[in-house]
Amino acid sequence: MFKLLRADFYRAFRFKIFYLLISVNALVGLISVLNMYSYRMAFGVQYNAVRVLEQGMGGGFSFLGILSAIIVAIFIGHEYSSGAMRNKIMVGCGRSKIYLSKFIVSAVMCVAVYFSYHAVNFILGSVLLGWGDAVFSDVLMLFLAGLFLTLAYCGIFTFISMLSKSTVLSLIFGILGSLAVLMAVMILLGGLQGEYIADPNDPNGAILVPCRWPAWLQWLARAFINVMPSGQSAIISMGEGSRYGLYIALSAVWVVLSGAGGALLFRKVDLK
Amino acid sequence: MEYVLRTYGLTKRYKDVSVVNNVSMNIRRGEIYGFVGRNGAGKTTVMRLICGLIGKDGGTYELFGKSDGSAAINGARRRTGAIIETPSVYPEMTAYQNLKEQCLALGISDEKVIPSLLAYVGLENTGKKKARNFSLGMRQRLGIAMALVGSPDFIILDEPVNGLDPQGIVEIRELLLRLNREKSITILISSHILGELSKLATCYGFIEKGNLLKEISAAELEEACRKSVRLSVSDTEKVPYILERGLGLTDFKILSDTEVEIYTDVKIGEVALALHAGGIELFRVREKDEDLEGYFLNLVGGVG
Repeated sequence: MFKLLRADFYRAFRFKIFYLLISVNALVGLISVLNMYSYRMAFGVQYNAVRVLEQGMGGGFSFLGILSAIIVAIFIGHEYSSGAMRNKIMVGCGRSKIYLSKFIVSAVMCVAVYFSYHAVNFILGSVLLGWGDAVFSDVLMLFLAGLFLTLAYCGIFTFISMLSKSTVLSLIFGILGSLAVLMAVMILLGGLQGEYIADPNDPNGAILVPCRWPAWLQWLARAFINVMPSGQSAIISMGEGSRYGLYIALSAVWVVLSGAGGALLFRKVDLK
Repeated sequence: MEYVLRTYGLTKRYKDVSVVNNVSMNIRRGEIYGFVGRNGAGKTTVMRLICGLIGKDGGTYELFGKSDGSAAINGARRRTGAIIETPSVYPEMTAYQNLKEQCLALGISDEKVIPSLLAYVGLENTGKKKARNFSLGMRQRLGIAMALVGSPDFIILDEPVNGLDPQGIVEIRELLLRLNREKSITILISSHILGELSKLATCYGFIEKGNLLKEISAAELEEACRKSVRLSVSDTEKVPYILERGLGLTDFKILSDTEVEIYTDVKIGEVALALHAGGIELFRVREKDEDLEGYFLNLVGGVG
């Protein structure tokens, strides 16, 4: 396993897309900090580094998921297209070990990309925006929730890439999948919020009618939003996240399930 | 006799179609085993099965005496190198970097093996040239170098000379012969270029429609392909006497009561006269001059 990790890291450090995406996410971090700074100047101190931290979880369009999908799909897909995956199996490296090595190295790259955004915020955001009255433990939990969210994305995309054996398919499944789930989450969130109807007593007013879905359906919808990484990403980015411990636990479940299931299924995969 | 690879009734099916059917092959240590078959005959599938790339639907195999179902099979695979269809190299890396990655995967920390491997396959001067800019022959040689990382005792090569120019073919052939002679590496090689294969192989396996038709040593094949004249006669009892005493021929074989095969150049007219004088009727004369290609085509039943 250690040998495979060394080999995979050797390649990862020469993987240009990895450095490109680190730069892109750091740039997004910089733009987010400057954008928040302009809000702060215009509207007040509630726009601080915590808001930038929250937006770093996907910015409302699963950006973290999209970045993770790109890294994992290209890193693992290239292993298949170059035939190097065959090489490792043919020399008896062991399929489960190969799978786990790919997951660990992909996870390290995805986390590095995640860090690149937050590094900018922790340095520049602290100076320009400050952390307001945020409690350290809350900020830490929020950061960890994002970290585990990234690992969950990575676990799922590693599963898809290792089993689909195709860069293009993995990219399509990864990016469109993230966006499709996000869209479903948005629809569910809208439904759960209830709907505004015209106020019979006020021609210019509207009243909010609470969600009329059955209780079990509302529970299912909330569970779906909390369980899906894109759902967590959307909730946190909107500044409505609070159950970070739950998000961390659910993301850890994704990592374990995708890792164990993927390693098991990969043993049966036929390679050309 | 020590076997590097033995398969027992190996079978692979795709959607109820058998692409490898009950294949039992035996490769002894030190052999260069030429695997011969048409496109789609099942050569590559057998190689993939042996390399653990695809799952089997029946049968079993032993690699260095380790059964494919046992936990020790991965250990046996570490003594094996392979190129299936195309060399597996990272195009964005140099030859050195490709070998280093393979060394790391196999736990070889001593980088000194890399220059010697590159020199062995004639790629010592590629410097910072990326593998994507290599010619097909260079990629093929790099693939072989990758397969040699870890000093394997057995290498599996699927069509290694496909698409190479004549010089490239000769270079690969020389390289494989050196590997076999100098490093005692057993080689399983498939190729469409049967003439080329015949310059390498010490043993052959012929596969057609997923069935292994025959395994034969190079010596046996040479014997079977020997240039000869086959005579069909009324009776072979007196033939040895006539050929030896009358015509001075010694290199012949009585095949049956009515058939005899002569392995030297003879004048058919003289033979016919001698046989007639000895009271033997000559019914038919058939000249045989087969090479590996002819032998293969005869075996599989023609070019169809």
